[in-house]
Amino acid sequence: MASSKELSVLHLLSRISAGIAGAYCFVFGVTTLGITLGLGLGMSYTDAQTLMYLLAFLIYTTAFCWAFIHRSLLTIWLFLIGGGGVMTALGWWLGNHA
Amino acid sequence: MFNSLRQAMAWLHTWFGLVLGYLLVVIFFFGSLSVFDREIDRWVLPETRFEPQVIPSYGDILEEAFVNLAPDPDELAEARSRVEGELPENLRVLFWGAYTTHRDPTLSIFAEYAIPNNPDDPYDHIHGHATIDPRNGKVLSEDHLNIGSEFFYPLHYSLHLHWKNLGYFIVGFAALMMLVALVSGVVIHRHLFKELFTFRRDKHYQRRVLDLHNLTGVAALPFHFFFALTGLIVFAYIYLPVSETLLAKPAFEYAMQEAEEKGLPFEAAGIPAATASVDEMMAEAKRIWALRDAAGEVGFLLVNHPGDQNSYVSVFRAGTDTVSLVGQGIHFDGHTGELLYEDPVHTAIAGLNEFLIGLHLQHFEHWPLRWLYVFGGLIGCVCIATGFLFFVQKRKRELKSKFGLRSVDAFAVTTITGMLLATVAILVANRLLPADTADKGNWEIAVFCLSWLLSMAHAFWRSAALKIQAVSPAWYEQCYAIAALALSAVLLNWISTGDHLLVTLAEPYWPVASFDLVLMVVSLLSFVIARRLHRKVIVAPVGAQPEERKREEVSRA
Repeated sequence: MASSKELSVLHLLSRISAGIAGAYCFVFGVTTLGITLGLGLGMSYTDAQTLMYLLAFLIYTTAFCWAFIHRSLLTIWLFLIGGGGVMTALGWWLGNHA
Repeated sequence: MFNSLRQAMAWLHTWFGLVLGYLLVVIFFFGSLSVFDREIDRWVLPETRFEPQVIPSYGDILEEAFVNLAPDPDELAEARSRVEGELPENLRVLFWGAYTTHRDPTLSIFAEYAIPNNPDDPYDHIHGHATIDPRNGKVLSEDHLNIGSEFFYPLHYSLHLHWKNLGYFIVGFAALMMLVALVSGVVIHRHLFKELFTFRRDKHYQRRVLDLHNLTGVAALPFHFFFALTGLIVFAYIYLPVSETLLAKPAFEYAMQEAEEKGLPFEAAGIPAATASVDEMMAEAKRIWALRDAAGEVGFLLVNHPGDQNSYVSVFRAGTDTVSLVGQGIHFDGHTGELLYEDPVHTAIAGLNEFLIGLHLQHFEHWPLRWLYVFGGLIGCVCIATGFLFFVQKRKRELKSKFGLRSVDAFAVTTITGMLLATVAILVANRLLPADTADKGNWEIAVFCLSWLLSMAHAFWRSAALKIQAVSPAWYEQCYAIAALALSAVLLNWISTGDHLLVTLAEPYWPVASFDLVLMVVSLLSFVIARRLHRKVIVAPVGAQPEERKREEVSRA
């Protein structure tokens, strides 16, 4: 946990943005990659998509809460936006080219 | 930023709960009303007060109704701006559909029409919709609004903000924050089990409000979590549109491949052909279901590529006795009438999804559970409303000198009593406006919006009294108005239709009888609450000495 001394409006806004936009980006990536991995494992497209939709909002809730719990803001942004971006790109590439 | 997990969760719970609490109350309230949307439709449309009907004969009723169905004028006007050149006068029909449940006397029919010459989207299409009387095929007036299923219900999930699906996203975000509020609420409360049995009515107001917030939050925790989560899953395709964007290619290829494997043509051949008897197809589907020990009625009918050589007809069993909406689809060649394909048993994932969505939308027949849904939803409203009442109460001293207190209190009045006021006002307007009023539905919506706006203006105006007394007069004044309007609605229903309670209870015709009874309970409760609040203001103004106020509270308890 970060110290209460670090409390600032900018810091708070950054956490809120990470919680809302970062977690969305992360979940978008998980869904895209999850569907293509599901296809790779022999699932039908409908099943792969449904499975990811069933999990997506539980993952979003977890990621959102985590953005307010973890000490390092940098790690939060890197993990959510970075991880989400990489998964989205990988999912897109696998789905369209592999 | 936060020193502990509990502190972080408390911050999330407080602030996101407050900001989205107002919206969540609206979503929960209209969700609760939507559980009885069909019954509300019967109350507002007296000409539809007859028994639920099964899907009618295709040859006698449906075919003509489908042929006469037209594209939605607004969608058609928008489509004209997307295409190159003029649109043909008669658009090609992609499919005709009809859907009904065990509670529907009227039948909802709909269609999809292809929009050619859109350079950006070769599969562009628009829709058409109508409600018919399935006994004779007569189209019900489009000027009449199904207030339950076409106004309250969409308000619950889209706020009627359709531009770029904005309303869906706002509601979706609120539902996510509901999940966050529930998770953070569990983390910050150490004694969850104890909260279930704690309500100290002899304690001061702030404590009582918090006790009620905790009690309702914990008692209905699984209900709230389930509905927030499944509500998101229902519209997941809007929130996470991967299959229309990044994965459009594999999704399309899969749809084509699936159609080929099932023998169900994905596209029309462009060769006109006669349609075989759809009535015989529906009879055959019912025979097959009965053979499998699952006799049932048709709940959903789809005629794909009608009048084309590639036409096929899909018949789905109504989910009256199952949790899923519809099921056991059987598909026939539209031209020859021969059976093409039977839907296999669901995979585990599809079955789970159908179950969760079916349990949220509840089209199956289970009246006690339907009432429990309403109580669960209303408990959700109480939980959220007490949450922000506690917030206001706790910060009253900090806010007293500022505009903040008046605003928060006025918004709370607008959200709670204002919402109820607008709801009963639209019902009164429905009974007061003559049935042949042009654009009647839009006038009713205007009354709803205007009443809500007036309640907000009234709440802000009367909140000035917070300087001298503990409760804004707006609370009890609007409660009096709700009591009067709810009772007026019952009386107006009697006067305008002759269906008073003695008639509807004797018959019995429950959709109208139960809604009249609910309105009378709302009227009585609002009156009792208004009287109590009014008396409280009279006996205990904010300027009274603490001891004096304490004595007043004890004597009332």
